[in-house]
Amino acid sequence: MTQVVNEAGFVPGAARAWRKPWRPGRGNGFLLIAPLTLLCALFVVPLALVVVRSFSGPQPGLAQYIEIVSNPSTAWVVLYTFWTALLVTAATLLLSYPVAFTISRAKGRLLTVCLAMVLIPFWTSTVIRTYGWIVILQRRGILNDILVGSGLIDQPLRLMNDGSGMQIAMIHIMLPFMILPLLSAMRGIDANLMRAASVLGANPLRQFVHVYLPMSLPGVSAGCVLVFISSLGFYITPALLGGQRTMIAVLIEQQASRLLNWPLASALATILLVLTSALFIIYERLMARLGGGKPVGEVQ
Amino acid sequence: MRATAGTWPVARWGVLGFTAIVLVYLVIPTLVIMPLSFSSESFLRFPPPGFSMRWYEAFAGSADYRAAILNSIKIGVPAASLATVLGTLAALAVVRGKLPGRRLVGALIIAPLVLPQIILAIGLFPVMIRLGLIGTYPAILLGHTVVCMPLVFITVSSSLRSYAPTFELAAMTLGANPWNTFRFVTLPMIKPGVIVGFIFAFTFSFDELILAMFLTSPATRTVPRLLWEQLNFQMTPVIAAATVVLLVLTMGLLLVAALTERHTRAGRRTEG
Amino acid sequence: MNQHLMADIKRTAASADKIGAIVEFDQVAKSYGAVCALQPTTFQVGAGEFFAVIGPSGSGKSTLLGIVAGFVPPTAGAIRVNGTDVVSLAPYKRNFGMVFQNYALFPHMTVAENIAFPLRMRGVSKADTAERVRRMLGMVRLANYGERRPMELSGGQQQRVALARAAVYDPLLLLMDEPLGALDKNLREEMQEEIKKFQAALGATVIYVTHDQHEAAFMADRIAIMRNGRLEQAAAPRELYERPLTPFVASFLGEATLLPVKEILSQKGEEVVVKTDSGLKICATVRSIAQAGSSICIRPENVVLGAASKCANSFSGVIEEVLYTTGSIRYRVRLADTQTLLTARIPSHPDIALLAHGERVEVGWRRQDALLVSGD
Repeated sequence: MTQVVNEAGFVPGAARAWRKPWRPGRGNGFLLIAPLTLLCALFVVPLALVVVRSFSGPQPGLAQYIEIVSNPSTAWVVLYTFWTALLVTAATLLLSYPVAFTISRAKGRLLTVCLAMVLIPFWTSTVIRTYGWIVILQRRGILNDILVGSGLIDQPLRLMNDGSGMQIAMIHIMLPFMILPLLSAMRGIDANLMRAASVLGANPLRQFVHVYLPMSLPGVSAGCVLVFISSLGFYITPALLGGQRTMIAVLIEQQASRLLNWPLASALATILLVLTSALFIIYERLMARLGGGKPVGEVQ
Repeated sequence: MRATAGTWPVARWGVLGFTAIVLVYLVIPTLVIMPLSFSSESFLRFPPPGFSMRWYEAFAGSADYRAAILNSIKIGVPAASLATVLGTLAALAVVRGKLPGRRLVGALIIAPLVLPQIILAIGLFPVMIRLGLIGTYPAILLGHTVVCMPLVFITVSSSLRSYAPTFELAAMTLGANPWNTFRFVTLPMIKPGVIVGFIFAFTFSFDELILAMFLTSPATRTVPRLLWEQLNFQMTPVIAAATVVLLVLTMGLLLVAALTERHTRAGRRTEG
Repeated sequence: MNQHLMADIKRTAASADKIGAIVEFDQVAKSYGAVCALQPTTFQVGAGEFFAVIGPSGSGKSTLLGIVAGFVPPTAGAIRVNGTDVVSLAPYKRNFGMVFQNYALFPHMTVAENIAFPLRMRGVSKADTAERVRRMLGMVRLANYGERRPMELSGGQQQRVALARAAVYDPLLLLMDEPLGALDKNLREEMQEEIKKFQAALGATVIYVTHDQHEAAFMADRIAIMRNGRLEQAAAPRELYERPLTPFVASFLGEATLLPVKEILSQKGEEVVVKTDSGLKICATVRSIAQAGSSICIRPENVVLGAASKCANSFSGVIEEVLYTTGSIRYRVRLADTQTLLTARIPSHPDIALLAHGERVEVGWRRQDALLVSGD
């Protein structure tokens, strides 16, 4: 029941002109004008041009794509890129999971040191880190010095030619991109849940498999997608350490700036764009589920 | 996980040892460069045969490096500033606004950071040629703004999400119009996020190679591009010396960023 | 409350030439798509009135407050403050003061800067601002705390700063959203008294949202009880308790035994005889036309245990539960019809022997203590 109070001059429900109520945050859209203009002009349009150009060239249509698939050397590069990205993602996950687990339980000085050891390489230029790997992995580098010096092998390893050196360096460069999302997922796991599981009689292995692992899965998938996307588009490390093994990004650069074959470079870039966009959309969904929508290597 | 500690100590020590190895793997390539930069010889030999400062002297005396560092600053500061303004605007609209499709807009703004730079590089190259900007400062500066904006967007968004919008509502009931609310309440509250975003953006621009390869000319060559060219032609420890100097600079900046964040977090702990 | 504060309050009251505004809610409604958060609601808050809004969570009380403050745009209706509709005004043009549940004190400003903020927004001169802030700090007994940061203060002190900040510019209307929700019990009671005196001194019109019925009853001139986005009843606390219009109001404010009525046997003026669902015949009082589907409401303190034959309603029952609460004893009595469970509360006294579980007892209540309230 509605209590109606009538006093002088107050007529409930009296018809008066309905004026639009004030709405909070209504005018905020105009804030987006400048950022979106820049983004359209220098991101959306250039990418659209890349896609358009991939269908042009001497023979318009799908010619570039047919060329990529039918030419064994380019097809091989695409497949090898995929294989490397998969390998790097898997290896990174295996190495990162225990590290993230330890850091998520660490406190005080240990936590600071561990985090610094993850974040310093994260923020060091890839060029610089790749240079470090050259010093270590080259034919007369540190690793071969140690291995030959200790008599383990007779001939120095050619790590910079067969792709293995490139993979070692890529795994290293990608580690923080996996550790950070894992950490942010693991920080969110309530330690009481594990205690509850152990009170209920689960041994540590069962606790891990049935409680901890499922709860860390959003972090695992987010990290995997992020590492996979980045690995697909890797340029610096393959160019310096890949030797004869090349990846898509290097091929695009060669086609574009050395061979001036822009249609082919655009087609390769379009393939890369479609793949990474699809993965990025998956990543966005995962981050939305992980909560807060904090993408890209943000730990707090 | 106390239960693990009690019953499965071997597994626990295994995990710890494994972690230690991976962490060493993480820092080794950076650590290796340091002693090399003090080598007395010109070949990359480890351990270095003798100690000298000659590569630092060479670095300090190099006109190429001096020009490249200057270029990197000339590009990085305006690019990071522009990215900071635009990224902050976007974060305000997406986090505090009531727009439909906010998530989509957020994803679009982050995309340039996530998608491989090589795609954007070969996309921007012809556009910049058409605009007659190729090789000039504006070309690379605008390119870097696009890829740095996501970093500011992320840090400012997370600042905005770290406190309830109640503060802004309170300011409004107290008589502050939207501009005053932003100036006196929102901006002071997100200031650490804005500063950290700027530092991240500058660091990113300072390190970015691929766009620089396509969009700069020898006159506007940045540090990463110079390092890259040197790596491809000659491998002397002068690169190591340059690397160490840049590393120290980068880490110094990031330390400032980290301290800014920690300072504000400690300050806000008692707030409802 | 100390002498000093009282003196301060009197001084301020004397200087306050303004008295709070009259606020009229005219068919104010809010819905989110098909979900109705607030049904068309009409009521009035008088000048200088302390008006509390209570109800369970999700009852629409926060929506109501949000609409007044300007955070939630209503889908229909008008809110007139001294005759002017404010619905289309932005919050910063409404000239209301608001105290938030977590105070929302700006952490980057000192206490004095926080209180000065609304004056600064209004372009008040520096000297005038300083004087008004000083006076306000004195009123809330924080004279020496002006240079502190809010986070350096206790919860109760932050509360008082928030109050001072919301009132320093003599707003037309003071809105309070669970302002004491974050404080512990003792402090809360102290602050209730303080806010009440503060309001009286300013002569401000207050709309106060809380989920605590005791707080509302203690502080408010009138209380509105909300349920499912609807205003059930708005009246003075005593009237709400003694003459609830609906079973919900009866049970939400205080404790009540509610007996569903099956049919009205007879009505003569206010006197009515009804038959309950469980078959009991009860003499009751009704304020309006008796309707089917109503309930009988009996307050526990009106139930007589033992010599009940004098009462108009008298039944035999069995004690089913005995509960001692500070100062009183609460019994649950199963009546002979076996379905009705009656709650009785009698003051505790060392001379009174407790009735035991399972004991037979005569219970009763007067006709005027059984109130017929309309259905649902």
